[in-house]
Amino acid sequence: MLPYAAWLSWVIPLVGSLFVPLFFRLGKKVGEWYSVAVVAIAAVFSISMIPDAWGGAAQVIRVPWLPLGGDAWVEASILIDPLSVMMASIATGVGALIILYSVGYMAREEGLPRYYFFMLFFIGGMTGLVMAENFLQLYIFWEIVGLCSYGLISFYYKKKEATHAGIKAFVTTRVGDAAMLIGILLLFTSLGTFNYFEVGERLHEALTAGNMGVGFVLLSMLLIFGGAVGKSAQFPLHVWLPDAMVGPTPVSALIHAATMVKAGVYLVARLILTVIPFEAFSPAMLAEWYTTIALIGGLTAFMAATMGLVSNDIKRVIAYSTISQLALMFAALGMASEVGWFGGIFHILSHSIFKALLFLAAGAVIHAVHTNNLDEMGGLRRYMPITFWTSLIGVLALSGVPPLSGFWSKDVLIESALEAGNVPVYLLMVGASILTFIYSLRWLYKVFLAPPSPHIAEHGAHEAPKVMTIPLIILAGLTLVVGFFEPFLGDYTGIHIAGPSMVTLLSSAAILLVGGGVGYLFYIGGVVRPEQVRATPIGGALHKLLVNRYYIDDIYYKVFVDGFDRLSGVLLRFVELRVIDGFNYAISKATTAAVQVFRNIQTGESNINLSGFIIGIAILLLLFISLILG
Amino acid sequence: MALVGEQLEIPLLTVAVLLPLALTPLTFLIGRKASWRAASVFSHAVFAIPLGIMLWFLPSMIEGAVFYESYDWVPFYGLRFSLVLDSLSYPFALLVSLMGILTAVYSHKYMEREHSLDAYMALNQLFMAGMLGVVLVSNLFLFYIFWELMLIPSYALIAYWGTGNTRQVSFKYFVFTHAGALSLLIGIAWLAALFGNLDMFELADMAAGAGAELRPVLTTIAILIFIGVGIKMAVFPFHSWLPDAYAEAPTPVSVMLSAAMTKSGVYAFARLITGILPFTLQDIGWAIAFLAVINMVWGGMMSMVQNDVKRLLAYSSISQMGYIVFGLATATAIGLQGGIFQTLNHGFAKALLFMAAGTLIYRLGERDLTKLGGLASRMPVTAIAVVLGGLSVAGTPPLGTFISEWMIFSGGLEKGWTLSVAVAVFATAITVGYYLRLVRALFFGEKQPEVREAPSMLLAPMAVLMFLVVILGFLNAPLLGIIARASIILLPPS
Repeated sequence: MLPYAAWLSWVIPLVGSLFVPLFFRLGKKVGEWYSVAVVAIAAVFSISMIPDAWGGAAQVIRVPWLPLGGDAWVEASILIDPLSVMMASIATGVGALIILYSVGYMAREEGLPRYYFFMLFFIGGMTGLVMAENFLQLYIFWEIVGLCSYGLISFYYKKKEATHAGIKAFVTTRVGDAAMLIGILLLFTSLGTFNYFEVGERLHEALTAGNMGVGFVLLSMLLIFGGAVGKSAQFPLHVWLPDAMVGPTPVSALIHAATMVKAGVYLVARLILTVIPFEAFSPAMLAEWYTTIALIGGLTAFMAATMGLVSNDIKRVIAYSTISQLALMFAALGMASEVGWFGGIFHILSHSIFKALLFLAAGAVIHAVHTNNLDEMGGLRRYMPITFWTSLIGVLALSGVPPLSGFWSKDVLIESALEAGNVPVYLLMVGASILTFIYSLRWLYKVFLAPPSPHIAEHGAHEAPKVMTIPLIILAGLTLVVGFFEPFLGDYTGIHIAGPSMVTLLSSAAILLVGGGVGYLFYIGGVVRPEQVRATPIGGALHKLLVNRYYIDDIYYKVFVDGFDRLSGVLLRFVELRVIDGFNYAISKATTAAVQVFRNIQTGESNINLSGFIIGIAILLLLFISLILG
Repeated sequence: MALVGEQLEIPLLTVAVLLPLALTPLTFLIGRKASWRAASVFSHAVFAIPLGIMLWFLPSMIEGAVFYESYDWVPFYGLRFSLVLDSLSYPFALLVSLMGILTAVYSHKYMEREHSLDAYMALNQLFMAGMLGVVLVSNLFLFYIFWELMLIPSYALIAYWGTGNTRQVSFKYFVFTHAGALSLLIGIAWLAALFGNLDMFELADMAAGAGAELRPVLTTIAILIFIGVGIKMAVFPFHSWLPDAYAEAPTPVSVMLSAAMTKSGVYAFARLITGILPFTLQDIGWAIAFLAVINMVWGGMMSMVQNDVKRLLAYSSISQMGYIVFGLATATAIGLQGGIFQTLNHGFAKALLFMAAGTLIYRLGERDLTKLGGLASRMPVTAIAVVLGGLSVAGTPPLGTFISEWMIFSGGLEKGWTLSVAVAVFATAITVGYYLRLVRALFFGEKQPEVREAPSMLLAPMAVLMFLVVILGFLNAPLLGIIARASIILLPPS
């Protein structure tokens, strides 16, 4: 480990981001390469920690942070273990490649200092998030990540959809975060600590001593899982991710591959590894929690894959695929077994690489043809060979074709469901994987193989510049080899699992056969035309349902956005202004009216005044007399 | 809680409170005889004195020192002119003196097109002196005098330099605040009659030693005092003066009202209710917390549908005061600590937002959201200010407000008010919603207004506030240490 790597790996990009505008003052090139260098250095620091974490060792550093009066402190703490170091290496390593790619992709954009500031802050925030050994710190970085995603999704701030999608992402994830914060604070107020290990120990003590019910653990863990649902875009908070595609493509790559959406999966993996480990909290005890995760994962995986089938936006298809793949990871984590946990983080690793590859490839395509619409592409294989071949590797890895990385990690995922005997989730996972192969082939076909659109046929297209293709090639190379790292990952995490069972291998074969077959029939082979399916009543209805994303977005808008707005408006007009403020003015009017009565007496005529004076004297005299006589 | 501290040899606190007060006529005269600019510069110098004194005390406050001064005033009635600077009054005194100088600098440019600025400068100075007095005196009689002293100049400031229907708005402000002050006066007088004493610290001991038969009376007194400070803090349903006053006051006065004046209500709550009658909160705390939760949600919902920038910010203040009051109402050390820290965080952030709104008014003469837009590239500093201020108010880590909010929520959970805390946490999503809407409406979009960035005299105070908003998220340990000590002194762990 390089000195202070556990701190510097995230402090360097966070602090470095503040100087981005300064370096851009010196020149655009200086600023760009400064940004690349900052993240690359952070990556070196992160990767240097791998030997320290090898074999599953965990190392904690704690320092006093926030005073709570007297000797009470909230501590800041850092954790170096296989999970945190792996995630930090992904965030900074893949992040560095994406920043490098940005130098080419964003070359002609305005507002680059803002772009690189947020990108660096984003990477630093994500690295800090995974290195924290403390729920409060986790939450702070969690929100930094959310904030940066807002800034980057809204990067083209003059476009209405961009600012809209930014707000949508921030508010939707904030809803999940609110649940998470309540969960964290529940733990803090009852246990008096934020540190993972201490929370785990004290929970265990309280449970064994009988001071606390399992219900409390379940509740707080479920609330914390709410944050993961929001960040990792799982049903029912998945709506923000597809819209977030309006941001620049490297941003999408960063959000999907290296940062942000992986945070939710990381959090659940972290809870299982550190806070509620299997030894102290048996899976049977927390069965409801695990089942919820597995079910949400399974359902989201399938649902998102179906929506990926019909999208016509080159990036949205990949976005749905991310939701679906993340959901597979959740499903595996929810199996409450070592196999599931290992599968989850193995898939994080392989997904990070091939998803970054796919996004950067999509970016290269958009860079060349200036459109996101799949129908306006086609035939790009001829013009963009590097992009095509690297995309092919990415697509095959995503679909789980051996020997690419996705095949190995997906096998472990399916294996875990079979091992746990969770048939419904197993079926959902297999279904999602079949659909994954289909939409991947559709995507590949529409972009590269289909007959070129008139525009492309006329003008052609150019391959991306070297600064963009080099990251593509590196990522494609990694995708080819990462699958074979499985034994090393076992050594690294200290978790060794048996090879896949026969049923798992058969499932994989079935997935590839069915998915590939359908994909061939409809797209590559062109035997059946998709329009024919859409022409049938059921196919048409289904298509409409999927294009409208199951109407979930519409319902959310009607109820939560418009409904809330309208309710507030009504309350403002009738309660705030009429009732509350009206009451104030009513009092003042009543006072004025009451005073008006007496005002009529004050005529200023001397006769009336004089008679009043005399009457007053007379009353006083009478009182005086009665006092004397009485 | 007898006062243990050090008597100051040099009357620094008296200077801090009385000098701005005593020099008010001079400021006016300078404005009359020379020019309002001279008066303004003179008042900057006057404002710098309390701030300098407060900063000078910073190291010893971090150590945990307590300073007091006490002089005979009206010996016949046993009245003493006594001032105290302890862990509780220090954060507020620092906030007030800092806000004083920042708004004075801001006013210098912002108000240049206005009339009779000699009087404005003098009244502004009086306003600030009143607030400083409120947070530094330790005698309830003086407390009440200063409490009224901050009301009168602020009324005049709204009435003479405000916008819209100023006569109605300022009168409403006056009546509301004054009604609150009367309720406070009854509470104070009752306390004085019960114990025959006016010193806050001696009263605290006496009230703690009072027998059970006095409990109902003391609870009534606490309610009376709460109504007084509650109106100042715009607690629902006494909040309706605030949107009008904030929105129609001249912007520097809005800044002062939101960042410092309503905060003196927080101080009064902490000093008088938590400090003297902490046990009453066991009985009425839940009711105050309930009102506080309504404040959060109500203010948030109202902000959602405002199209006037300043009115939106005003409703947002109502919502945020809910968080502060909630923290205080928990009567737990961590909740109180959060409430006081939130006061500072919100003070800085809201001052920043109002100043940013002021730059829009200064440059464009417009504060209707629907008519603004696309300002990000034209006014980048203002844009960053609004984004930072909005995120801070919305409790986004790593800014300081997040730290104070989790403390407030923890206090509520410690009390067992889980449902209220859940509502409060989800209400932060509403806050995010309306601030992002504000940012989008002001700065994003396709409109390309012809406008330049605000002059540097307006941006300088904003830069200081931006720095504070950011830095309080990281280097907050010394300040949090002071506040933690205050909360532990007020609510000793049992």
